[in-house]
Amino acid sequence: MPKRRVKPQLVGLLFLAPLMLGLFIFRVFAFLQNVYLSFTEAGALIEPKFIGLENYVNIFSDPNFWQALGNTLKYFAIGLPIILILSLISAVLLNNKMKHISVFRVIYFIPAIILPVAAIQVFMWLFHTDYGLINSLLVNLGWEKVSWFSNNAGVTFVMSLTTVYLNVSVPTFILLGGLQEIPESYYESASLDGASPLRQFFCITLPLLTPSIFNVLIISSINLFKLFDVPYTMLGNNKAALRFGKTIVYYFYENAFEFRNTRGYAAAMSMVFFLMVLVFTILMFRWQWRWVNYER
Amino acid sequence: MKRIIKWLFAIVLLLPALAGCNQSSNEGKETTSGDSTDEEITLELWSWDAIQAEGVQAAIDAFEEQNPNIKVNFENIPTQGGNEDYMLKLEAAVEAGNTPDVFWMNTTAEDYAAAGVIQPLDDFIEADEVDLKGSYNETIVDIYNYNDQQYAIPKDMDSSFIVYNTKIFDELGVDHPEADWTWDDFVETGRQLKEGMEDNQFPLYYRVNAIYGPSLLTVQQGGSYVEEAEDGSFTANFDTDEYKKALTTLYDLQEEGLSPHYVENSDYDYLGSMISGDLAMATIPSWEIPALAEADVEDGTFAAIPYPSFDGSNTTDTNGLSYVMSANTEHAEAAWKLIKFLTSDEGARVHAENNGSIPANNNEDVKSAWIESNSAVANLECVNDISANSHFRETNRYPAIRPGLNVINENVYPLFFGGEIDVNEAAKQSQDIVADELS
Repeated sequence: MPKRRVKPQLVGLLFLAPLMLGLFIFRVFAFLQNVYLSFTEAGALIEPKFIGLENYVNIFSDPNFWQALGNTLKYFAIGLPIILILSLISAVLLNNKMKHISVFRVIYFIPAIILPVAAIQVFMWLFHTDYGLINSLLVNLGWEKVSWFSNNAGVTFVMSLTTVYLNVSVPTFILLGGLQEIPESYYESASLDGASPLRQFFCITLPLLTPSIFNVLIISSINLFKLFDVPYTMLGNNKAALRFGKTIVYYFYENAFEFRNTRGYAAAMSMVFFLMVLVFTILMFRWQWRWVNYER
Repeated sequence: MKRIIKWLFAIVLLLPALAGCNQSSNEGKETTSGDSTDEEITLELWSWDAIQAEGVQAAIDAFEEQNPNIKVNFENIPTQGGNEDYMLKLEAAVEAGNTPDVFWMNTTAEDYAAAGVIQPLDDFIEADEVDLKGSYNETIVDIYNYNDQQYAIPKDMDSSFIVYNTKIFDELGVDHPEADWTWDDFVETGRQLKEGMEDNQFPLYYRVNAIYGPSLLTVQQGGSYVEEAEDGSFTANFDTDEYKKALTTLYDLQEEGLSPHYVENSDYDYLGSMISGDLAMATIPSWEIPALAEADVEDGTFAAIPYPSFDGSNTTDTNGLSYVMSANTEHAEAAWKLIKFLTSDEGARVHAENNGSIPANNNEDVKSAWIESNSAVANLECVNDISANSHFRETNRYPAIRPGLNVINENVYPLFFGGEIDVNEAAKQSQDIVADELS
């Protein structure tokens, strides 16, 4: 044919264009915009004004920032091990060759598909001081009513519980996928050699599962660092309890959208936090060579 | 052939983006055509209160009937608690150049006026000879006047009542409060009620929030949150005897078990408790009255009464919302028509009859429409006395101190009402927080 040929690569790029356009506008451009804003004083109704490093300097003397960072790390430190252990146990249980196991799999996956805000509201009402089911149960059992939202321990408990509930499903199924990739023959030969089920778990299952565990570790860590919906929904109207649950992203949100003309400060805060998460992730990736088993 | 199909497919994928460009260029053309009377015009109107949305829609229906060539796209932005979500969406719309033609505003309007987002309405007011000060509450008119230009027409004004549950009073044999009561009567009534109540029930609820309760008690004693200089600049003024007395007064209520504890009952639901009969009386702002009026209890269970006088004064605070017009509207004439109607005797009455706050319109019929529509709550007529004796809420007059007040709610009051710091320390911390916020 005498027609001019269009390079197939070009057509491919064209197909990619809508996606790349979105990625560029909503990720790359937005990120660069954020970097720029972090050096300005900005708000919805004022033109950004360049103020150099002032925002970054202010962060370090802002007690509310450190309080929010402390809270974020608290929920991270509590949530991560619980999510890891719980999802591992659930995955092993769900890997059973029991009858109707798929029913349980559906039940375990429900927290991942329900609306987080709805679930958080349910937890909030369960633990309500006056009308909560939990307190009503305690009173019926002869105990005193507990004021869950009046102290650090109570708020931390309720928020951690909710956070774990919402964030344990996906890890469970990542680990379940990992478990199902381990060849049956390994267990068979181990049984023949007389290894107990517990021994099999620690010497076969766990080492071969490390790539999935690493995956879960990274995903869960980032989810916990980003914690926002739980404190926002649960404590947004509870000013007395907010100091026990306000996270970095919550404080960022207030500065970016609710306070007056602090959008630049919010941007600087998000940059600082971005760097912290970045360093954490890099360290985790370095560290993985010591314990993650990729030999299969 | 295959290649052509591939190309076609790619173009189809890109079509939505192209369509987007097309649409906006069409809109641009409309500008030039202006507002001729026979042309169909569409106005965008935004509000933020789900309870009042019904009333606004009713008023719009009446407007559209009288102006068949104007269509109003009304959108109520659902929001939790205050109006933060509305402000969020509005700011985004402003930045994107999609400001609605007409929208609700509070005192933040000053920022919007300074940024040139909303326009002064003086020319329209003059042309139509609207008597602002005669027709609307003067305080509310004034708060939307900047540099001698009127940027908004008042829509409503709030008022604060003590609402009490008559059934509980009758059951416990406690005398109903009377309109000229004092703080001591208030506390004494609480004590009498407390005797007959169970542990988890409370005789009274007085709103503890730096923006409302302590602010009002401070002003009633002649104090103030801010010190205003002659040039209009202001500084924080929290380390005062009046503020300290306000805090200790509220602290005492809690310590005596008369009111819910700020920390122990941090998730206290006073509206729910009023309706369930676990709370005998509470401070209720007018915008929450419809919730009690619509509650599933016998009519007349609730009755309203003015606040008790504290330190000799029972003035209460008020703030009013308004309608403003976008500076970029393509249909200024039509937008003005809409604003004028919604705040007119007729429009405000229709709004009030179908769920609203207290109209800022002074017309007797309009005021009584609000009282009528909420008549399940007895004695709302006292709103006239309350309004006559109200001052403009300090925390709305100086919106710049609001973020600081929220920090006080979150970081100072839990410590003070939890007994961890004394009143002097609480006042000092409040002072530092707001002073820092203003600097």
